[in-house]
Amino acid sequence: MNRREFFDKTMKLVAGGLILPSMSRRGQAQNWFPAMPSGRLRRLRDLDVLDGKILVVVNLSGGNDGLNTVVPVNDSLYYGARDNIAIAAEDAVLLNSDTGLHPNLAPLESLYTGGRMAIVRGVSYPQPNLSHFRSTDIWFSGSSSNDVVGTGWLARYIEEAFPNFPDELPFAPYGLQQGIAHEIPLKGERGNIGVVVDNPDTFFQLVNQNYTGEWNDELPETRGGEELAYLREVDQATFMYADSISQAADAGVNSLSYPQTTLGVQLEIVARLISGALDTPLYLTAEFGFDTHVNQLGLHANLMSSLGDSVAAFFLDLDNQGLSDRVVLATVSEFGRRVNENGGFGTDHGTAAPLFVMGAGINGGLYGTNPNLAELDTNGNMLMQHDYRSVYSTLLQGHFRASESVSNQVLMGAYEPLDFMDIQTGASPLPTSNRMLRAYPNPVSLSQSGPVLIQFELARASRVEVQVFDVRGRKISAMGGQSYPAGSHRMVWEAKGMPAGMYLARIKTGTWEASEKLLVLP
Amino acid sequence: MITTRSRRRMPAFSRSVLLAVFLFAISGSTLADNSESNTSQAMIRAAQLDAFAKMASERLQGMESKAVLGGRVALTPELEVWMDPLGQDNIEAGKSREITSDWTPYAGPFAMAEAAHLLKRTVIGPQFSEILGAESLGLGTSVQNLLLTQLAPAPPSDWATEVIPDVSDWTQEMIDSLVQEYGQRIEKLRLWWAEIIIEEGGGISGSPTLRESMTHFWHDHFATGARDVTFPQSMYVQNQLLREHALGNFKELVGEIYKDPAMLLWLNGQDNYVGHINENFARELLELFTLGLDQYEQDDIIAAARSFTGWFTLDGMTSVYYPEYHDGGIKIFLNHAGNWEGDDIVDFIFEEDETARFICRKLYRWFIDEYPDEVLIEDLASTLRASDYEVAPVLERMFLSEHFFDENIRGSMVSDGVDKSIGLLRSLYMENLMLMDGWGEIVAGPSAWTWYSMNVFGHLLLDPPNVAGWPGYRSWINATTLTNRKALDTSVIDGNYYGYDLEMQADAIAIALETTNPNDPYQLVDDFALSFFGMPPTETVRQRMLDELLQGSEPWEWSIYNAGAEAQVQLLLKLIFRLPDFQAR
Repeated sequence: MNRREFFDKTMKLVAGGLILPSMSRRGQAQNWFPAMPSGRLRRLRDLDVLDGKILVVVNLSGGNDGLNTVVPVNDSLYYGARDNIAIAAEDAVLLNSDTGLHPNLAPLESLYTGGRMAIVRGVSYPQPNLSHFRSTDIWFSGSSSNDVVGTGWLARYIEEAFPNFPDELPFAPYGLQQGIAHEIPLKGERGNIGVVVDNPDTFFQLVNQNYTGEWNDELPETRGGEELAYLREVDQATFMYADSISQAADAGVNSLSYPQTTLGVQLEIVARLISGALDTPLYLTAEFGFDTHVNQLGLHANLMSSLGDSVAAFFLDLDNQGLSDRVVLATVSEFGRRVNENGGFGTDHGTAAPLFVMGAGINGGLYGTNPNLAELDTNGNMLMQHDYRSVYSTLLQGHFRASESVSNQVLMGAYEPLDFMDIQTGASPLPTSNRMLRAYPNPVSLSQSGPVLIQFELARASRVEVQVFDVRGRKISAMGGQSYPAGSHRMVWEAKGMPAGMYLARIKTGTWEASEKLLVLP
Repeated sequence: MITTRSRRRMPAFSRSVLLAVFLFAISGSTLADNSESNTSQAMIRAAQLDAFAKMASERLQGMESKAVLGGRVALTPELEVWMDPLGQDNIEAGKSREITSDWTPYAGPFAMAEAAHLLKRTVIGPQFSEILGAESLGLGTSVQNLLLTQLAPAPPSDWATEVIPDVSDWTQEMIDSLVQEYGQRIEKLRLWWAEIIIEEGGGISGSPTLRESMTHFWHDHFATGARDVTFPQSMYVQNQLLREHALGNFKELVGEIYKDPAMLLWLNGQDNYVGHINENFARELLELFTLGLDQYEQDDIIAAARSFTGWFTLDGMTSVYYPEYHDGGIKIFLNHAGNWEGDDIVDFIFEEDETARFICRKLYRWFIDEYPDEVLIEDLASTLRASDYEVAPVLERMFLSEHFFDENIRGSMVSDGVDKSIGLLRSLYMENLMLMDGWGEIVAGPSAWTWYSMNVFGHLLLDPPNVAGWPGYRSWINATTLTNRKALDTSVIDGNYYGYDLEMQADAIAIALETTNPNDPYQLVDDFALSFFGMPPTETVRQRMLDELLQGSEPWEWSIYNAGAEAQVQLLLKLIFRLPDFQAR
């Protein structure tokens, strides 16, 4: 649906009153959820764009100390530089004879040994900037040290992938950022590609009760007019996305409990939204407080706990729900920290540091070498082994299957992808026959999983009807007659709220039909 | 350079079992014993205070996120926001960015629209009666009134200057209880400030000054977070320092801020002494407080940090200088070589032309628009330099200029969170709300609303996201903050937030009666628009406002004395608070 149609439709709902019809069924304000569309079918974005993938970025804000995160356990220069704050070899989680993780990252060990976690060492950029603010801008914008770029690299990629944005807006935002956060990551050349949302549970009702509608009147060509246009844009986008976000939050589940740290709470929400089949490819999260100038040991240990426990919980949750095959999580931080500890048992701003990339399609292992502490720059900082934009280009080409030229354009230069993902750019080959790929989770437990994803392939463009029947053959839901291009497609069936029992999902074209039984457990 | 430092040794602190947990700063020290001098005792006290602050801060963070309003959990205050310190926010610079006016004295009409513009940019939450007052006084007198100085407000309570006890022989329970008490006092301090903002100018129809807006400006500039400083005493002292210099001398303020107790605790000044250089404060002083990026080298940061050594706070309220802990070596700062002290560094910084430009850009963004023109900035900066860094002449020149009243920049500032929480209460004539239970336990009512709204708007006074202050401008508005603004601001009209009794309610009729002709529905709508929007609404929006007020009745049927008038004015005000127009000024 394009923007125009969307507003024509939604304005009918809000016209004359501030409460949507679906809200009136909700009764008490205590219930913050929108109505759950039980049994409904919904089409997700086609897999030919972004390959259906999801990227979760975890920003370790403040400059994470790389040396105490990925520890060079045999390097006497490391221990010599850090009398008081080094991580002892016997405490580290050893990955090989030279390298260990901070002890509180132990929960990530199984991801590493399972080959699902890459550690890219020595990541930075030429002429590193030691200002938090400037360097954060550089990392988020994907620019060189001396170029000031006000848009985010991922936002620019979204604009490449969706050339009709923002004339055509998606049902779900392309990006979802949590917390009050940096403005660059979601900002593209043509507008904001996503929203900042903290609490999806309260979001819907607050938004809908307070929306005053779309305004099409002309604004003056002044700075004031320019800002009002922006405010209206945020207002409308918020209204649009409230529906999809809260539906997904309502439909999705977490299969386990998360540490209630800043990052843990955010990843818990991300997993729930993925479980609820929110069609959002980008999630931006953060943990704060990595600027450990003083008394680093305890502070950093807490942060490592938050990182290790939260990320481990996140992947276990996705594994439990069969959702991890599309998701990659990557950490970023504006810089590492100085090799030598300072007088306050902390470390000052540094440069190159390791980062983690984990999840689907990752070739696990260590990339680069432990830093050469005998060869530092004039400020006593470590030298770069990998440009951070090579990590980005790997994610663009390996994860999202962006072409090399798109990657170069987004990153404003050619950055050779690294080996932590296989590069298979371009669209997946077209299927040779029509096929119902799978419906999962199946059986679906209403208390433990989100909606059912129905995935199918078409050899050529066809009109497709998807139907769900109950055990007595009554049609529960149907989505019919839409034309689908050749390729892979996904539908979502909202099982929540349906009586437990057996159901049948059926896909038909004019000449072909396939079905699968779905078992709904309480 | 670092090798030129002389190394002094400090006696090791005798470990106290009770303090061991949080006195890491000294207990793990490698420093060897020395004689028992007074200054080493002082150093121990300074480090104790610092360590206490750090321990307390960690404990407090756990308590702060507890739900206050209607059982809902607020944003955690430590959520950080990054700024764009260069302001290089390269969005489409359209025609509207072209500058066609300058600091030439404004000679145009000073009607209601201009009076409203002046006060909306200079006062947090101006009232309609104040706009009327300014219009009748004229531009010159109104600006003179804005620049008036006032007596410092009384402290919130005796605890604002209470001695911070030596807790070395306290039990953990005693320490915990003090930490909790300090946390509550920080909340009270916030509300104390909120009430000062609301009472600015002496209440209804008074003549407001710039003082609180400028105190807020300096707080945003020298952004210091209570969550780390911990001591309400230190935050109080800093707040009064900023207020005292609000319209004063920028250089003098910088000369005070490097030894301000809260700042010493916040940016590791307590950890910065000879042989133990901590560059945190020096870096931010140069990058964020005075010169801006790219005006200095890493070596200058180290040289400045070494020059600031020797200053400590032992009581959290005053600072002391110990020459023994000052780095007496030669430092080279911005090409000046010598055995510099902190004041010398300040002098050198203020010899740089860029310093005046840097602060003028920030003042421009605070009062006029996000996109300063460099020619205009250099012009302002020359005024600042000519006045030897007195701020008032710069402000006066700005507010009396053609550029300030340029139609182009009317309504171009995105309102900040304080404007939409404390400022809203002020503009609705809602006073003396924070004065519950002394300086309010935040458990209910207006104090809870104020705390909660600042929090969810991402603008909790005394807790900036980081030392760069609030990023401001468009970052104020996102899906979450915009949604919360609408819900919380309209709740003040209802006196109720989703079933939660606010124990306060705006008096819609009284607010309407302050306008020029509340019996004329068109005039009422226009006056409200003048009061609450940055620029006149479009005809479509204006019509929608009128429809909301009239609720299907005819314009000639309207009277403020009609039976249903109150409900209708309430509907209009709530619509206003939900419109995008309300978020700019």
